[in-house]
Amino acid sequence: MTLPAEIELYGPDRFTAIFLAKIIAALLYIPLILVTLRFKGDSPITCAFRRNKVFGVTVGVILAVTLTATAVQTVISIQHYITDTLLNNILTISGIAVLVAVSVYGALKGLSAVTRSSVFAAAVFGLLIILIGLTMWNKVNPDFIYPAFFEDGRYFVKCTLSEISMNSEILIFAVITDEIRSKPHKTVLYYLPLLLVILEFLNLLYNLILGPYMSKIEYPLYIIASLSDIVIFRRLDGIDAIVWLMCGIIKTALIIYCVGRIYSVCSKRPDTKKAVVVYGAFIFMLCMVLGSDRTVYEHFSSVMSGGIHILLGGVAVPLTALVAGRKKQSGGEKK
Amino acid sequence: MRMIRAVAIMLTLTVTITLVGCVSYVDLSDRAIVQAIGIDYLPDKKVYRISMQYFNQSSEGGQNQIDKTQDNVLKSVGEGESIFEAAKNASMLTGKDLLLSENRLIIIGKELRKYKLGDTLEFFVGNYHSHPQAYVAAAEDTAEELLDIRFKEGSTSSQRLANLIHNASVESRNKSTYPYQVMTMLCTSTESAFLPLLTTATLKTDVTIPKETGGGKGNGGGEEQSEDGEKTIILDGGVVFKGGKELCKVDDDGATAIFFMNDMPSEYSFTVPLGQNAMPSVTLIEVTRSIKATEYNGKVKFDVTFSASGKIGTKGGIKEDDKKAAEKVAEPAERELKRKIENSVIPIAKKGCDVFGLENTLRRCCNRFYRENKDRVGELIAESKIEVNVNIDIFSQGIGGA
Repeated sequence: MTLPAEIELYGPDRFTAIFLAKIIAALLYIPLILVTLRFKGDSPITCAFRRNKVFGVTVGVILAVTLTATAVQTVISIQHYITDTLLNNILTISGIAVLVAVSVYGALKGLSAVTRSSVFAAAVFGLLIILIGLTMWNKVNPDFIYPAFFEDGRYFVKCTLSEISMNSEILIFAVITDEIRSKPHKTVLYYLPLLLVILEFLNLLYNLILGPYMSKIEYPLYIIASLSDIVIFRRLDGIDAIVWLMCGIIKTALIIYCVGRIYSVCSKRPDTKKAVVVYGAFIFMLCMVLGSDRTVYEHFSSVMSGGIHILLGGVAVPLTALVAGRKKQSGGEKK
Repeated sequence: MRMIRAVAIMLTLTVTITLVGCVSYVDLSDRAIVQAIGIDYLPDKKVYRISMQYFNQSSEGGQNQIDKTQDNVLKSVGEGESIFEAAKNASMLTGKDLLLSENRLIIIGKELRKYKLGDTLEFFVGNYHSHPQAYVAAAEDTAEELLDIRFKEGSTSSQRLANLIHNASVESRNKSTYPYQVMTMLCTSTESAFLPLLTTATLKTDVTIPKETGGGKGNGGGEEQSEDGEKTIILDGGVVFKGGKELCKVDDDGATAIFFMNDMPSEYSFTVPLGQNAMPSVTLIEVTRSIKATEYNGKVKFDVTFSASGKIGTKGGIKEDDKKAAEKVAEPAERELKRKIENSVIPIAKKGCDVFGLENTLRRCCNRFYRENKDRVGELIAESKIEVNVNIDIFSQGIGGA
């Protein structure tokens, strides 16, 4: 899931960077897929906890910390997006409170409810893309595209790293594999190519319509969505805002659910409602601290764009579990 | 448990009620629905002056297209050290909240064009509530002067001006310029851009208005009266920017050439001088453009080719039964269009101004050379050789043609 706050630069470098980033992301998923294959669909945290309680709790804490960082980044960037575009008069506290409250509600409703909502968000996103395609064709300038897919080495590396860092779904996947009924690795096989196509298509749109101007703006899709000449399709930016808002809420709800799940595995308590609510309050406070000042948030984002959370929670943890984890005893039943 | 639920519900209600936008809502009647904005710079006072034309909601404009008893628009003016401050001051004078989402036109005054255009437009492109499809245009003199002129066509004056720019764009005579398009042009190395130029003129108009007092013999009841020689606004070429500041003005042919070099002309009509008093007009459709760049000895050559299908609109002296009319017209038409484009493009390019998207072509065709000379794109364009080729295939000789 790409957050709209990411700044994109004009030029074909990004096409290659996205492609390379998705290939690297696919490689990063390998330890996790191996864990699910070796331990018959169990998540790294379940395997680790079965080996040793302390080992399990340590893995759980690492995953919870990386997930928390991702949740905070998601909530703050969505809050910035909403205040920068639609509702520029609302207070930071109001925006964050609503986002976190809705996400906590989603997490309480469970994984099934949240994932079903995401299908709806995907449908609205598809509708937006179709409408943009139908209404913007006359604004496309093919001269903005040129065949040089590696122009600036420094930017290319930065862009690739940034694209990799946006694959924080790997952290969610590392926790919820327990709950995917069969062959969890298949999810990755469908998800990554689909994401690659969507990102490349969006990048193509930005380049063709905005050209060099895309580097100067923070929300290129929002700008493109607002340019329709056809009267009944004017201001598609409203749909764009709703889509990103829904995406942000769904992602945050999934993260909160995952942390609840970690708590459940570590404490052996099936009821996670209280933990989810308390964790929601914790996320809210963290967002308030980091989101109240743009400079603090920018520092935080630059650390996150290095992809440290992905390497730690999405690669190091599954690798450790793969080496040191233990298989479940016969007779164990999968949920 | 019930107690906890009750407290939770109370808390949720309290939070949601205080969060909704309805708490500090502004009624539509309390908003100044801005239709056009003119921005000038006053060098003596060193302040920006913003003139806002906004919809007069107390007039009957909502029900009747033209309300003769009241102006459909009002004007508010504000001055300030920044555009934001000037806009705020203009808003204070109206006593209403500004609503920029219906703005149709942004006019940039003469003095302001001596400063960076990007900085001026930043107020609009950075404000997501501003209408993204407001045209940006330049004023011959002050922007305020243009907003003072009222028309009888359109529900508001700004609507007519916006339509003027739109129609010129549809007829491939002048580039339409939304803020994002201007910003896209300004993002080139040479910071070049183009704005259509609006200027005042006293013209004999074809506007007819119904006679209000009817019935009487001497009053000519039921007839229409026309007004001659009234002050109006016309589109008169455009202004070209380099380094974000005004470089020069271009005439109508120049504006057309800039359109041809940047956009996809859907239809364009022009007169072909054939000699011997024959002046047929040709309408081009399906115009395609191809620009290629080649590098030689550290310099660049741009080959610009236009291909189009055309039909003869008016014969203009060619005999009705002339079966070779298409052959006679095609070559002179190609020559005429080539002349128009070359005469406009080459002088501007020689000034190192890239209002034609030549940098994109250079980047596309000679990427390595472009990267090596990224810092001197303006210089490269100024020294470049530009060759224009036009191919017109006349497929119809018009009504009465063979």
